[in-house]
Amino acid sequence: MKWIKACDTHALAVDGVTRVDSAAGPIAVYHLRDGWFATQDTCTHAVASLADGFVEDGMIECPVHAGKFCIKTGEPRTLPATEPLATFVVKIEGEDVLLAIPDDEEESAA
Amino acid sequence: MIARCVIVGGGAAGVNAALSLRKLGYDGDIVLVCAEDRLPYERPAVSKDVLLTGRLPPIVPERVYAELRVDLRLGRRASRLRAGAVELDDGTELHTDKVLIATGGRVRQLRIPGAELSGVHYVRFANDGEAIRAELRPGARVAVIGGGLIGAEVSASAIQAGCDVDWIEAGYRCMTRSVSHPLDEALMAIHRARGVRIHTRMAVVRVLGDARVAGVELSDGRRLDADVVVVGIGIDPDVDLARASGIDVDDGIVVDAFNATSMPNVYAAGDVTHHKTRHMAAAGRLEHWRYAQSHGEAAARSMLGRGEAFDELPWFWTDQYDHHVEGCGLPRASDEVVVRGELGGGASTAFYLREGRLVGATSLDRPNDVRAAMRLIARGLTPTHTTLQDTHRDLRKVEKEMSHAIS
Repeated sequence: MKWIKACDTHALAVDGVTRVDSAAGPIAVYHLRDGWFATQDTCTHAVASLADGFVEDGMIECPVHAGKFCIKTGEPRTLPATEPLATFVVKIEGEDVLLAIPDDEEESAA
Repeated sequence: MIARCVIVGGGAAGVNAALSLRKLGYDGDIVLVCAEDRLPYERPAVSKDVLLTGRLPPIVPERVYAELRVDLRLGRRASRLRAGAVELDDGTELHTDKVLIATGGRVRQLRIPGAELSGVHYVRFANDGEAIRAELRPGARVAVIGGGLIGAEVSASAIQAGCDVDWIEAGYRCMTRSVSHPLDEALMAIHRARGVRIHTRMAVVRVLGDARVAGVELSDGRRLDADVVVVGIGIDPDVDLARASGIDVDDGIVVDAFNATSMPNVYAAGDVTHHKTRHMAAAGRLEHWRYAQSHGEAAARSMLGRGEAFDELPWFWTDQYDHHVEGCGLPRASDEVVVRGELGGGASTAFYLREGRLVGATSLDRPNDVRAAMRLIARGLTPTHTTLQDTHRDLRKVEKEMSHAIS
């Protein structure tokens, strides 16, 4: 596993979301009222970048077909979403938002 | 106590009603009766993905029905309801406390000479999409009859499959019932640029050919060659069950804001219903997928005695070529239109204002504008014209700021 910098803490307002490219593919990073979270950026239903979607009540709404997922757990909450999103560990160091990216091996073991 | 709920119809409304019953904590039997002999699927794919790739996603994976204890009866229709019972077409009689009718619609048939020829297709069920896919060979000449969203999606798919496409509509513009002006024209321009020949203010008076389609004859006398004809001229509600059971019908099953029909303990949801909300100018039917899903969920609440008056803002999407179009509300010709972005094929949004209040939005490749508009409309908020027009203002942020200011 290794840590990569996603963005600065002041770069995203509460209920903001941004996309970060990583070795594990694109990742959506969210700033919620109670902390920072990250999920895979590509929707599990069709091809769409969730970072272009709408954050509300702790959920991300896909910008294409409007399926909703829980940001903290990745679980699908409304149709047409039925498969969960992968989630990533986030930590804050100073003003840096850091993402834990699994190694390929760890990923295949997961 | 409610021991059993029977849901008739395996489309968006019926399936989401079944899932919602469990989500709401209902623990009794759920029977889901589906006329088609296949796992309930995402109907929007029938006029898009199925035509291009054959891919047809299920609404939920098969395992979910087992996990949630939903008893699926595939390939069955309900023929009649009596007090406390549902009769199926195989003679089975299911005793039940509550019934939801979500039988959806059936396609309107073309009533002109030649309509019965081989090669004339309709678009509603998975089988229809699969039959059309087999015909969309590169170079095939396709005549698409009907200028609605189904016709638009079939035309786009046929072009992408390498076919030659004539698209025929009786009115002045295509798609205008769903994709409000002026984005209907922007989208028509995209179709033309892709090679679709659009014929508006034109009816098809005859399908030409012997056993098999060879062309169509238009109302101005012109004849277009065609190897395939695809018809998308609307649906009528499938009200056979309601009629056979003595339930009130008026271009759809008449329901109140709590999905209740005229028969006690019988509810209806989705395309089959005739209903009214504050978003609609008059009672009628709406035929959008997500709306039907929400209507099914609302029905589930009412069946459990926890109903809330249904008040969903209509919302739809359509995917054509590599463009994503969506809209909310039911704009009227008299609404003021405020445009964001470049009309004429670029990413753009039209906002609709009525008496100065935001009531709807339609976007081409700017879905966030519509999602933000839906939230603004729900809260009765209307940004200034300058804000609506400014592509540099992320409307998601505007919505949060404005909502925060009133809370």
